[in-house]
Amino acid sequence: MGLFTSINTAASGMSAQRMRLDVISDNIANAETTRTTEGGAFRRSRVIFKPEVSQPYWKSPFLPEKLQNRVGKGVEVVEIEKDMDSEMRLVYDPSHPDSMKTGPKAGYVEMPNVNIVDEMVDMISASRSYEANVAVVEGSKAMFLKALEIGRR
Amino acid sequence: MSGLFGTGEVSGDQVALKATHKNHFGFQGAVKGEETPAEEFTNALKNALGETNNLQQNLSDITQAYLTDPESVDAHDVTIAMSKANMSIEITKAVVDGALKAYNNIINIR
Amino acid sequence: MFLDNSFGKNMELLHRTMDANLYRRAVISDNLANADTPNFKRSVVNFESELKRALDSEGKTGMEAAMTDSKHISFNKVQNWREVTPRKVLDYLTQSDNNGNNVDAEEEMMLAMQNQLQYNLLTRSISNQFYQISKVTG
Repeated sequence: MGLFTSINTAASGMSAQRMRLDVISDNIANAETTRTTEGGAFRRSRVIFKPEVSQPYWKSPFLPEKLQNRVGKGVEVVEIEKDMDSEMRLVYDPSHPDSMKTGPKAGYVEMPNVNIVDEMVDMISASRSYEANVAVVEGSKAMFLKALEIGRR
Repeated sequence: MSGLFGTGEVSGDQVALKATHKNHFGFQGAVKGEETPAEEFTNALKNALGETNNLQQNLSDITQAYLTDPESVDAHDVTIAMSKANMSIEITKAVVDGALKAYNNIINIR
Repeated sequence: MFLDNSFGKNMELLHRTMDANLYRRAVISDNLANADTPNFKRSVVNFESELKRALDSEGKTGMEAAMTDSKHISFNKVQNWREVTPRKVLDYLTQSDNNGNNVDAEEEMMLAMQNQLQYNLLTRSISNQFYQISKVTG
């Protein structure tokens, strides 16, 4: 497996969690943004993770099933997508410059679909995952240093 | 055919089989493959030196593999190979020293 | 005086790898220091793969390719591993941030730690070489 495979895996986990934290902080900062360049209110983003597995390009039909899977190599961020599923908040405020002028929802302002409490919980989860990855790295480093103690006089 | 039967021991319908191991029936005397104590000690020493050389070569190979491709070798592989090489040097040196001391003692018996 | 047999060659290889390791540490700390600079691209150091190629080419016995121009690529040519030096290469292929900076702080920290552990193991190896000699000479 090599000396540093587990360290590289944990490093990829730490990078992914940091990107997740960046996205969360962006969401929180824009929790009241009603005017974006695309038009409309700000929509929250979320990260999509994907495991990074060294898959063979084709599965050999002669190998037994148990030998086909390899140990994964960490996580990578596939994309940062806008959350189109949850609904936007509507707040009644006719004096707001971005309120809708006509239609059945006249006087309502469309606010971002950012729920601050959810984002805070996500942030705690991201920082816990980051700490767990750091613990993995520390453990690998301790193991390596112990291996250097073999036969030391 | 002469490798199977003992030399000169064919009489009529009876042949004597060659005994090559001390457990065979009719075994007499030394057999090719069993050595005198002097030869045993020499061979043991040669084997120890050969083993030491093998372990040294193994250490050299693992070190080169580690230098050219650090991902292919584990840390404990390298340190264990180092310890094995060191240990075999120490053991061989102890055996040779002991043999030399015994030889000197024997030579100097008055 | 030992450069012809495998003992001297290993010592020389270990020494050069330690030099390359220190150079790599300098490049990593340079990357980390510039983790926020706009339009900065990180660099890496290539040494081990070139050394592997040079060492593997020592046993080549095939027909050597004739190179009539300096831009020709050589194959089957025996390379001297003493001529391999660490090279700093700009890594412009990884994805950048919004300000053009492609340094990932976590990855650089992990590389720095791996560098340090590798240096420990190399030190252990090279001191073991000297220890063996002192063991034999009693």
